[in-house]
Amino acid sequence: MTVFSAYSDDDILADLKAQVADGAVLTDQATLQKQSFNSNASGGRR
Amino acid sequence: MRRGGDGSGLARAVVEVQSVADIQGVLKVARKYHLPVIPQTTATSTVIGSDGIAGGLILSTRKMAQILEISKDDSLAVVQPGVVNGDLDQAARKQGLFYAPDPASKPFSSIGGNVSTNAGGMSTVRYGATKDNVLGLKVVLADGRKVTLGGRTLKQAFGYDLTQLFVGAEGTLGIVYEITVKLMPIPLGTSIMGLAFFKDMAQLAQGVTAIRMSGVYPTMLEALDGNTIGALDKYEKTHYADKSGAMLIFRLDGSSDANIQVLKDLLAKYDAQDVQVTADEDEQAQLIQLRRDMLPAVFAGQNHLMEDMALPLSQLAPMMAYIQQVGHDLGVTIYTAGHAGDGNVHPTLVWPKDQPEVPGAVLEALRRIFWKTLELGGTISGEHAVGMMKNQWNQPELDDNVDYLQHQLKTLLDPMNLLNPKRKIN
Ligand SMILES: Cc1cc2nc3c(=O)[nH]c(=O)nc-3n(C[C@H](O)[C@H](O)[C@H](O)COP(=O)(O)OP(=O)(O)OC[C@H]3O[C@@H](n4cnc5c(N)ncnc54)[C@H](O)[C@@H]3O)c2cc1C
Repeated sequence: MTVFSAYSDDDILADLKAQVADGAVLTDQATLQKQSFNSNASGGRR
Repeated sequence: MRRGGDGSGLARAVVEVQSVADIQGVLKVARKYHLPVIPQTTATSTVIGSDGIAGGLILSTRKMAQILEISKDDSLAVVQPGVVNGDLDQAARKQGLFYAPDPASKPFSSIGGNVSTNAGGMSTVRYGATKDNVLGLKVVLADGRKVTLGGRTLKQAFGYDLTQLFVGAEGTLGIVYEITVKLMPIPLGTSIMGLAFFKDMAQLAQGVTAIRMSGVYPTMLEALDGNTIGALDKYEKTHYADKSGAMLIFRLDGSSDANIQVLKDLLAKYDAQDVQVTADEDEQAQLIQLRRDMLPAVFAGQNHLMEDMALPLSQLAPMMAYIQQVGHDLGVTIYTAGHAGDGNVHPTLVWPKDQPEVPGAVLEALRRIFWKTLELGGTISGEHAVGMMKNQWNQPELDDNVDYLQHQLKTLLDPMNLLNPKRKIN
């Protein structure tokens, strides 16, 4: 079964950018990787 | 180590907010598209508290980093969440004040993160954890409302204490955008620091309990076990491990000769060896660095899990002995250090770098250590918070009724479960 949502990724990002007037919306892979996975808990989940 | 199976995942976007309106905007988008929001500041969480969630929005308050006010008369500072702990402390010191909470991550972790995890540190034994130093908060709730909690007074007995509800909430209840913290006057008199060596951690723990009860009010009582001292020796090219199985680093601020003598007498009573005391500032800085170097020394070249239990002081010695026993029984190498003065123990369990999965023996050792902690009346999270790492322990730690009440509070404040979902309370 194909599941699809009402909004595309582009719709969401465009909306987000419109809502954030003073700060920055970052979507480059390097930033997403770096900020999504920190290594301080190096053992992962138990 | 890259993860995913632990619930962390690649975020859709990182939003570096610069204003309250930005925060409200991110939350509005999150509500509209049902997206998880991960509050993050300097991302030093050790419990997978601020990592991405697949498809979610990382809301970073790192760039909201202004010290808005330092008031000498009111002994407080008003800061944005991105202010780094050490920077606030330095700014306060220029005015004869200091910011007391001092996690080992002080040079790089933020006040916003410290508040949201209720961070502790070496001087918690004297000045309390972050919660004891927060006077007021401004928070944006999941529905976009702004609330002002607490304020500038040292006392406050009006309404429910919602300020404390948000301290340690780990980004699950709202976004903290302004914080009022206590500052302390720098104590007069001499500060001394020193080292003392004990046969083992259990004996050290007994000495620490006696010092705590003596009325000398130390500002630091840090313990390192034999394994940790050995790792430090390798890292620092020192020879402390030749001396003993446990090291105590202590500090007294603004102390009288009488207090120093009481401390020395107690150390002698509990059979401490090679007691060294210094009032020299450079030597003191070296001792603090020695304690900070403990982490890189232990972590070097191995996979690790660092734990964070807090025990009633009377149970510290039995806990130290138990950890050693578990390591021995299961063949797991454990380095134990901690803020012994406040009963906070950090055992670090290690295994080889080339083995990506956490070995079963390490998991079993942790399980035994956690159950023992609870049996002794302790908590399995003293200062590092819960994140994804320990939220499966809510039931045994909290019990059914409190676990349920926590979920009710979460539902009240974040009915769409958008804020840091699955973290802290699972
Ligand atoms: C080397 C090292 C040493 C450490 N030593 C100590 C120590 O001695 N004592 C100690 O207590 N901890 C220690 N830590 C853990 C960590 O530094 C603390 O938990 C710190 O308080 C996290 O701050 P942060 O700004 O990095 O927060 P982050 O990692 O960015 O976030 C931590 C939590 O707070 C939430 N959060 C962040 N900002 C906000 C906000 N503005 N509003 C709402 N929620 C928010 C996040 O969602 C997350 O749940 C150490 C970590 C490292 C890497």
